[in-house]
Amino acid sequence: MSPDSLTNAPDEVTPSTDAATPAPEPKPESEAEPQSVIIEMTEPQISFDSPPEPAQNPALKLTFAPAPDAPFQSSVTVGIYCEAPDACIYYTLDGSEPDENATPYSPEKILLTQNVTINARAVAANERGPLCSADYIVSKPLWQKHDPLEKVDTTPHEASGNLTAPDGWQQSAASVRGKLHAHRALWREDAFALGCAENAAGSWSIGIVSDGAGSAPLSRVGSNVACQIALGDLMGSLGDIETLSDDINADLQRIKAALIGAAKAALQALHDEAEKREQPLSAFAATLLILVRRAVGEKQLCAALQVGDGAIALDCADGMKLLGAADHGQHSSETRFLTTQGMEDDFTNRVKFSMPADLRATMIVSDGVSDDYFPEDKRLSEVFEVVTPLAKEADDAGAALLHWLGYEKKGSSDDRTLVLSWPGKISAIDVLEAELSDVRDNEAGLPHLSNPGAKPEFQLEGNVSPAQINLEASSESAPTNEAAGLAHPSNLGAEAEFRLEEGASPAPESSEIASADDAATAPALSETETPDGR
Amino acid sequence: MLTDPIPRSQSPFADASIRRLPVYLVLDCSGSMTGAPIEAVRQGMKTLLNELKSDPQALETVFLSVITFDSTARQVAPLTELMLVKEPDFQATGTTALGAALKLLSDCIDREVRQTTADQKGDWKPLIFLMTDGEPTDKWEDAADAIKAKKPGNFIACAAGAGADDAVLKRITNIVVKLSDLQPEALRQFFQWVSASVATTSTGVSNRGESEIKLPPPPPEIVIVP
Repeated sequence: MSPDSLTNAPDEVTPSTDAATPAPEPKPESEAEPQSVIIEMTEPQISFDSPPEPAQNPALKLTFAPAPDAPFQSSVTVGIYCEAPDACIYYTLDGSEPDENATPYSPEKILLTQNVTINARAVAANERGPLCSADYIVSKPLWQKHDPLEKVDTTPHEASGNLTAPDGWQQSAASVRGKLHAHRALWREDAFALGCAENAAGSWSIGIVSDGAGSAPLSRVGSNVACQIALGDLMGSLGDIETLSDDINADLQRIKAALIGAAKAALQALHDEAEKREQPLSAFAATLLILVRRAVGEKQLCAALQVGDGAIALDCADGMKLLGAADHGQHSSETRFLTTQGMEDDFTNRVKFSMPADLRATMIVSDGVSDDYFPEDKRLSEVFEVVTPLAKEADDAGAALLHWLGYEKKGSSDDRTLVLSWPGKISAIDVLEAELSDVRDNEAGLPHLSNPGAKPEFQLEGNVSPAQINLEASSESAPTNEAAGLAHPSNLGAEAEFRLEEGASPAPESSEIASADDAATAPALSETETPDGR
Repeated sequence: MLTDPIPRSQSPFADASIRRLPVYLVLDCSGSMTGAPIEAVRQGMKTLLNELKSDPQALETVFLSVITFDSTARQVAPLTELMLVKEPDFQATGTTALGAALKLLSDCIDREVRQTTADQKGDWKPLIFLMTDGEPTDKWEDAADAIKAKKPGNFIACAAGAGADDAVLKRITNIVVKLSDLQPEALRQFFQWVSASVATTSTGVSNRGESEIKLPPPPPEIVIVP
């Protein structure tokens, strides 16, 4: 049995001095020859309240393999061996005395992932061996941060921003360069854009994330162009959707057309960029994730278009739902991009709607985040639980998200981008004005808005959400037909609204209306995780 | 009583969100490798492990398995997180049971490589390197046809030395390279190229979106068989 096998399969090993043991193959650089391990033997000065000291037998010394004579990269698996086959080995990793209360050594060996001193002692029959200890140095993976040499199409290594929509909803975004890009001196390829589209009937919040394909040399240009162009397009097209008409399907069609139009505009911009630079379109490959939100009565109308991986998620009182699905293949590679052949014709299949009454927050993340929370439908809620309180409490929510995005996770080296949106606090004056406006509207005989989507029972009168308040407040000066349009959302909760989309999220069943307090106050801050606290 | 001080659940790779890059090395250790060639394989393996372990991306992504074959085939290292891979002990002996090696490779991939499920992120497409220095001595044709049809991953076969037949390897995979001889320098270059290919692929998988991998250009000792 060769010495190397000592470290391979200790459970099969009975170390012996048997001269018949075949000589090992000569291995010039062979590491960890157990015979040559120098063991630091310390006199057992420590005496606990142990019962009568067993006799000490110096022959019961221990061998550590591999020997702790050089730093180990990332981790090391240590075996402890005693020449007496029937001895029990006890060890500690915290520097304490390895008495009989310590961990017994098992043949599965000890996996060390940080600097550790192993204290170990063999115990046999009535004897115990000397205290043997070994200091292991385990160095962390040598991730480095480098600036790209090529200073063209430069992109900041991190970015963040905040935007408050006229209806009080906050949007914050952050994006960081992944450790692989930093290590390889490459640019961040994720991008985001935030915007609002306002008109007399209300305001849209627009969040966009794009993740440039790492295999595409100009994908950072692609992701930035896609975000900017899609945002500009939506600010125009959504701004034109002032009213929600009598025919909700027609409204959703208009919103859907706006999203598809934005994706097409983004794709066209990539075509133009490719032509201008005389590069193939594939050089600009990037994903595109768009989420737009608008208050409709007490509910929040959310519409999303997703091309490629990443995730768009809604945090509702009854749980989290994904609005859109990533393209996963068999081996979870081969994602789709805006530039993928035939994608333009597929935009129409990628638009999803949802209109929860109890929306607490929304999120758009690139796959650098969503991959770390796979399966997203079950685990992305963890991100909401951590980042929503962080963002709400921070003076600069974007900076708080940026800090959170720096979390360390093994195997996670991609750029990370997160756009979070949540209802901001409404000042008392706003509420007062809104109530006045509500009264005026009602006096004017306009249809009631306080409980859209529910059965026509208006006992919740006066119990209005801030989002609705602002909506009504801004409708005050709107022409009559817009007010009538606003009234229509009382139909929006019906299932008819979603027959537009095969894969659309089902209409929220709940007809409960969050009270103004519930909607305006932060959710319970029971989550006390630190930014890296996972 | 035996206690594992590090519970399995705390292993960083127990996380269902982690995607691994499985790498299979299938190495011919038949009698014709005796002497300098098998020693070069040992050294090559050592170099490969050292180089990959110093690459943080590979360390966090790559899982490595080693299958050797002579008169039979065996998996000397099951698919293991790179940093925990120990150098296998190579001995040159026996004949060249290529068919058995391919069958074992296929079984190992079926057993060890994860597919994407609702709760588990699938592994990246496996990267497979096969090196052989002679004509197969068992019934290899069916196993070769089966694995070529199955396409279990990106499969690079290396015909090492004059005794190896690239036509045999072409029946296994379309990517075949040739080493002109079994000299230690050639084998060293081969392992270095494997190492570079694994490192490149581990970067590439983070970039995803590519169905075919791009391997680094081979050194002059390695000729790509068209």
